Amino acid sequence: MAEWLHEAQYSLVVFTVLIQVTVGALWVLAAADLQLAQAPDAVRARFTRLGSALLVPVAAVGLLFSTTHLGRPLLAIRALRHWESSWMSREIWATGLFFGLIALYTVLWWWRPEAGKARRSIGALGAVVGAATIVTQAMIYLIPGRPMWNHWSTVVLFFGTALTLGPLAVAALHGAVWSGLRSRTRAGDAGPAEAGAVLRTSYRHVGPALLAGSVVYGIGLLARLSHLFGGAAAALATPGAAGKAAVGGETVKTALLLGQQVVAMNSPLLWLEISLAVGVPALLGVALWTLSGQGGSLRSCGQLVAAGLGLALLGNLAGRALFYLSGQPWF
Amino acid sequence: MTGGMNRRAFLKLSVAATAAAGAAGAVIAGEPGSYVSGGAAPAHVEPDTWTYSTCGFCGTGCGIEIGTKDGRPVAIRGTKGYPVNDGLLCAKGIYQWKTITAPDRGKHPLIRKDGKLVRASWDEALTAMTDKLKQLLADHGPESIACYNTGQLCMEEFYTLGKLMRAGFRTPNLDGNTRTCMASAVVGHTRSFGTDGAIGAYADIEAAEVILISGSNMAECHPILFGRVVKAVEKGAKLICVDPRLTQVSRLATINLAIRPGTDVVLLNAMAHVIIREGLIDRAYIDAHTTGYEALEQHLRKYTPEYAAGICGVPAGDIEAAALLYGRAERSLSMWVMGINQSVNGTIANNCFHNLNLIQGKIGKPGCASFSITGQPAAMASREVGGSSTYPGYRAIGNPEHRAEIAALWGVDPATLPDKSPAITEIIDAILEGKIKALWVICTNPIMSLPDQNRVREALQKLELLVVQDAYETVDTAEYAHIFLPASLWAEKSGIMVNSERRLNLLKPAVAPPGEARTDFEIFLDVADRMGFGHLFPYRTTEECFEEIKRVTRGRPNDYSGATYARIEANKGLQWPIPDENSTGTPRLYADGRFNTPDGRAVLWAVDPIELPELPDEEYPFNLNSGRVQEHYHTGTKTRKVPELNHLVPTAYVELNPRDAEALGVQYGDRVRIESRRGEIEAKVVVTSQVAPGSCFVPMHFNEGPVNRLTVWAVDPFSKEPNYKQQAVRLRRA
Amino acid sequence: MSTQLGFHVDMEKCIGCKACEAACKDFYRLPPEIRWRRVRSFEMGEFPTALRVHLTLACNHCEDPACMKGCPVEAYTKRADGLVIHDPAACIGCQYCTWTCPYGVPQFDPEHGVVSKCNGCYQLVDQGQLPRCVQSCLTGALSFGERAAHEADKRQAVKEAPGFPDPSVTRPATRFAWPRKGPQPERQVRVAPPPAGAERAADAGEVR
Repeated sequence: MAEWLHEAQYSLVVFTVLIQVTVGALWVLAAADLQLAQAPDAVRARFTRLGSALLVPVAAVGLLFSTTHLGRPLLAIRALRHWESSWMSREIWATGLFFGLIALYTVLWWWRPEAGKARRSIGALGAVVGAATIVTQAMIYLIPGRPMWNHWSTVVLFFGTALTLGPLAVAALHGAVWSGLRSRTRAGDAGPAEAGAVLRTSYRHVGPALLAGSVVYGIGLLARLSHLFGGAAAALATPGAAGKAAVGGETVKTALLLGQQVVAMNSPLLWLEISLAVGVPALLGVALWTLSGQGGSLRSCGQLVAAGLGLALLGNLAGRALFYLSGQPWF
Repeated sequence: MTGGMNRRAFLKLSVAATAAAGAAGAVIAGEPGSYVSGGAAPAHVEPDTWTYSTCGFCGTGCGIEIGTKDGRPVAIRGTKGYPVNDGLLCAKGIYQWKTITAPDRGKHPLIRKDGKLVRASWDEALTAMTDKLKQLLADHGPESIACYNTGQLCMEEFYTLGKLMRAGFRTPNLDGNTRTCMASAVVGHTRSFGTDGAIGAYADIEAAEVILISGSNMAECHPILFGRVVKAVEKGAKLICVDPRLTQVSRLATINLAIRPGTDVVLLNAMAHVIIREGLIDRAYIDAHTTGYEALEQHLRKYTPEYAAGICGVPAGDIEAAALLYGRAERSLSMWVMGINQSVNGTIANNCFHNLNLIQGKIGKPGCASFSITGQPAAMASREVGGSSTYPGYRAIGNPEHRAEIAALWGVDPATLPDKSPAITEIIDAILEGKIKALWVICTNPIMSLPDQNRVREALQKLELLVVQDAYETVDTAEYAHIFLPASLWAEKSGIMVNSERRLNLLKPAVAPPGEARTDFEIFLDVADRMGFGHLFPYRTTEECFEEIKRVTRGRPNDYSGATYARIEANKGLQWPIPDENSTGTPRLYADGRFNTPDGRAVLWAVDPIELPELPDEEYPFNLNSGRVQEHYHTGTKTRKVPELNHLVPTAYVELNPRDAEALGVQYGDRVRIESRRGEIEAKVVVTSQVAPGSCFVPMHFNEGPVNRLTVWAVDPFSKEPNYKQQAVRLRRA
Repeated sequence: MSTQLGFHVDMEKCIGCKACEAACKDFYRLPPEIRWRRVRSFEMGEFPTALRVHLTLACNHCEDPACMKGCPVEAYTKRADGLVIHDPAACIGCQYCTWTCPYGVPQFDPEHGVVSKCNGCYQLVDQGQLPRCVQSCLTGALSFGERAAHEADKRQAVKEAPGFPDPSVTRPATRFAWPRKGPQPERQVRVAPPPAGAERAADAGEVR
């Protein structure tokens, strides 16, 4: 098991997925914040502020995992050095900047809630830098040395994770906040009713976002699989027996064949990814939109969201592990 | 038990050892701190001393220098300008220094108490050993005692041991593991030329126009020699390969004859047939220097290429072409090893090679030789000085005149010298019959290397006394030992080794033996003294011993009179005969056409193949071939302790043709059970077209899958060498 | 004129003896798993005409080294003579170069937390010596020198080898001569696939 985890690059799986969750969450929060500027609402503001609390801890766990990937983690700071040519350096710059911005954003929310304009600018900037972070993360894998990754679908998949897990995480936190609020207040209090209305609106917005996110993820996954399977088929179609390698440019096809074999050998991971990382957010999106619109129980919505987050996270981790596994050394 | 030991444990140990060495060692020239490892990992270690020596692996006999730092071995390099290898080494040779520091080196004698081997002093161990031997001598006579040795001691040790067993114990039961590799060559030489002694020189490789390599995966088993062959082929020499398995030799061959296993005699007879038919013989040479030609010519009439093609399974045209290529060349060289020797046909196949070359007069000339290559670094020395089945100086055991000469030289009564020399298979059978009660195993691992492991195991368990003398206390055979004696490795002793081309070369001690381990030479002398045979050994150093060997072999074919330790080192080895102090050795034997037979003529042998002991049938449909790989040596007691080598080939495997693998439903990496009528093993599948359909190949190095549990108990009728290369097995998914 | 040093591999002469690999590994005290030079084996055809050819490779000292481009800490440098040098002292062990290099040249040593790779024995080269592997080659299959000199002969100037990843990406300095028997560079080649999956870790992509 330990060996398998190592081969699946568990540290990078956790790191990339959690950073992408954080980016997606910031997108949701920053967007809500911008809306607040136009239509101030104390309850909604409170929800958004509470939502910002998840950014730094989640990203911090991700960063912590990233350092365990390093052979000499104490020297990690050196990795900023080669930004002119290394996507790895750029990723670290971007991630560092992103982390600084979400930290600042959180500080502003909690200790200077009155500085709305500054906070919103930082939030918007953070959202942009977060997107850039995901781009730099993906660009690391667009390398000829690993043909299995060297495809635009890698970028799409990484954004798919942010677009599905980010809103889910925020929605789950909000749901938890609401149920906590409800259990602590006495009957007849106006607070929970107001909060319920806000939560219902939030779910209605999260629904389509999740649907869109899972479509993005689905496109990425489809493209990635057709990249692998197409290359594998091309490798097998060259004259001679199946599974044989060739020379020059053809070797790329051999690499894709190897990647496809790894995917086939680890097909449970692929099924987890399809059903949990794509299917669950899509279904949940539809369910939330419908339920919140038709006055469904907020409590069951909250439970659905919490379960959905867990399942989707699992699906994303499985999918990312498969992503790393398929990028085998091939020569 | 190397395979039984956890490989990771070895790895860890070794990494720790190298890390320690690296930290202490200086980095190579260049700015300090800029070295490749940057101080982050182990780095190069530069020895402070280089000691002249000879490689302790195969019979190629490469000149090496052992690098030590603060008295510890840290490197081995080839000796620049050495005629055999000129500074080059194979992968095993490069890593050989790690065999010296292996963690399981025997450091103290061990005695079995309550079923366990426990530490003992030398005095306790040798007293226990000699007391038992004295009792057996008194109760059952000398024939109840046997000794089984090796091809990896030095000449002085073989001589001392031979004298100790034959003149001291007066037992005939002395054999070496050379029986399992070279006996067919020995008897083949003796039958054709009158005495043993490989006749060629490695320099013939460069001088030959055509090189025939048969029954030898030289590229893996003698890489240094094959490197010379490759260079010769690049310069235009033509290569003929005869091997049922495809190898790098066959890849580079002009003509490759992938014959059916065990059909060499028919092929060689057919080649001789074509050469005679085409008039490519040297009639004058035949008339002047051989006997038996008319009978041979008559005998070979039926061996047409077409007839041979039917038996050997290769096209008649290819056989014809090979014969013509070989026969038409001015200078042709034949070389062979275990594929020929380890067979019931071993001796007569050797004779066929000699026939082939004798009828063309291709003996004793540059680029021409009938050349049997040896597998162990001092197997030749053992053959020359009476370490196994002869008396020193190639004197025959059964020859009363030879015994009388030896008796006179040794100052003993000729009547006390044994007049027979049973083979190890006969010794094992005599143990099973209860006739032999004590066995002294020296520097060899019969449990792993003799055929039919289960039979050997049963025999060893039956012994009243099994003494195992080895450098490694985990050697498999020690499992049944009553007494274990820790011995030195080649790098810890002084003495002489002799390679395939009769080159004497020197061992000089580069490091001290570990713990209380002693050289085999010291152990033999101590046993002799304790047995009361001390008077037979007036020498106390190997150099003094070599002076006695020179006296005993003077005037014999292997005359070393002109050799001294100093001259051997100064000349970078000397090829015997070395008749006087001015001689720089003799590259080729029989250059004058005078052979060591009574009439001085070589003998041509008209032979037909002997039926193989076991052929594939319905029940056991596969032919099993066994052999070596380049990363490992013999039973792996040395190389499997080198993590860098073991990593390359970590475990037992079986080579299967893709067609057979498909039929069995197995793929690369799957495990299969291989069963013969004698036992079964498990091995990893390697699918390769290098083996023929219906054949499989298992290397001999791995005790977790010992191929010799499957091999057949059958020997060559002349040489008594076991038949390791052809037996019937069946396979199924494990 | 700029220079580019590199290795040359004559697959006709290579017998796969691994003396080069052992000489390198022993000299630099590399652990068993780290193979700065590695001999790969490929098989083609069927018995009795099947051929096993060997491909000995270390760092290709590419003209456009992907390892160097991707390294976040500038542990890589390309010398004026073209050799690509990795400095483990600067390395943080991020292993990115083990991905960017298509040839599997940089290798991570978990024991010491750093990547290392063949540096072309540049210290020896600076003293006018050949790299250890080249010094130790038994058959003359392996040589080292100016790439331009290797390209003087057409048979010796081949940029591609069986299974060798597309040289147009990083422009390796290694040149090959192909075996005379069997596949030829201008013809389609069929070679055995690297065994996929779990076997790779322990047994590498070897034939046995």
